[in-house]
Amino acid sequence: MSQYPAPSSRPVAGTATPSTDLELIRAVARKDRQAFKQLYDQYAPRIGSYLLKLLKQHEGVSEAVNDTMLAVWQNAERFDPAAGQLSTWLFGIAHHKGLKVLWQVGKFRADQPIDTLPPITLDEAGDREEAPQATTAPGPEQTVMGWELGAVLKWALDQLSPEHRSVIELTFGEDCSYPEIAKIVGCPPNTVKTRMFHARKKLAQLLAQRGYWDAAKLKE
Amino acid sequence: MPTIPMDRPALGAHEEIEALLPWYVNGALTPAETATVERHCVECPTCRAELEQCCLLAAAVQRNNIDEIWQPSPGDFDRLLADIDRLEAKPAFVAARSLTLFQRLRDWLGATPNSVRWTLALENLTVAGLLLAIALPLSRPTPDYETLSSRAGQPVAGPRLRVIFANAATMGEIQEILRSIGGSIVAGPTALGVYTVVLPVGARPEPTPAHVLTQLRGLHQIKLAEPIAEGG
Repeated sequence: MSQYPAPSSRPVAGTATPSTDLELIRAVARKDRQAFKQLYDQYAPRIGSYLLKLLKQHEGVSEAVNDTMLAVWQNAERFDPAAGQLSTWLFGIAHHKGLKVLWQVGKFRADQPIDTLPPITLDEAGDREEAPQATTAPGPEQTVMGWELGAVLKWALDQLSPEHRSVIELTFGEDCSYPEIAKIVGCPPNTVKTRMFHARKKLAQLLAQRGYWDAAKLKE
Repeated sequence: MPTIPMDRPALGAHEEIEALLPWYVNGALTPAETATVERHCVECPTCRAELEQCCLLAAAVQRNNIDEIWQPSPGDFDRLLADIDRLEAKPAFVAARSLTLFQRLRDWLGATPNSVRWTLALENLTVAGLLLAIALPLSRPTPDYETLSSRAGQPVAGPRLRVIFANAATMGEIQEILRSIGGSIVAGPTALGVYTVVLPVGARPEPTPAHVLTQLRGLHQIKLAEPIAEGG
């Protein structure tokens, strides 16, 4: 699933190179540092990229990735292959480490039910951050991909709550199924669907406000 | 392109299928769910439009992710290993702190030489015995020694005699006389030198007071031997 290159780092002692995720995590459970290095190289970039989207900033990502991998080192023997894939388990740990960072910086209040958050009004969204504006009406070339509006989409995704953003990222960035996302974020599968619905609705509102939604509709 | 209804009514079959569209796009539905979505989309223009929007969103998110790949810094893994080394150096100390008093005492005793351990055990046993004796005073045995004035030590049964020994009688002779009649001095001497001697009961053959008196009066170490009446 990962096409990220592995970074170079110091060599570590270990045994034979495990070939599957299960062998890898079992070797880590035996405190095999070479296997742990392999796991790190394989998953740290993916976990970090996900956390970067969740946190919306580079600050704190390295720490959250290392916290995640440290938890993996300490609890590798607890991984149950019958409960899901290794990546699901890892992203579940990473997600909660990411939320912890958000709580620490005060960007996320756990006591506020996510799906009852008031909808983002267009004025609020505009006040929060400098939103990219379509300087001219998008032409057919721009609307061919409809959502292919890099800066605007990034801005719109940043307006979503962490939980809505995480559902979008895990679905389209990590190709997770909704039951897997439910395990990662710790909620029922139907809640994942509901969050996706609200996330897409808010994205549509935000993009429409910047002129891109209408352009997409004009495509037909 | 039709307008996509965004206000969600109570979930029905259409809404259920619409909610699955993002995962139809990323290929993460079960075969049964995939077939259901495909059958529905053939007949539902709204879901087809939603599907198209999902595809565009997926493409945009993936493109955005390619532009924003996070990579660890060269020192990140080394820092992680250093953290692990620090944590793994701690457990002995942390475990010692979390031990109960009993566990710590047991560990300390385990590291103590045998001789010291036995000494400590004996000391503790002695202290425990003393504490027990103090705590349970009623269980102490009655002292064996009693003075002649102690009423509790006196036999209550048996004929009693009043005896005055000769001044020249030695201790050995008195003891021999008492042994020969099986008697015991239970009181005396009074100011006049009178002893009370009680005769045994149940001895076989049981000496009669008259016989004993005859025997005693025949001895030169006895100045006086008289029976004491019952109640007297």
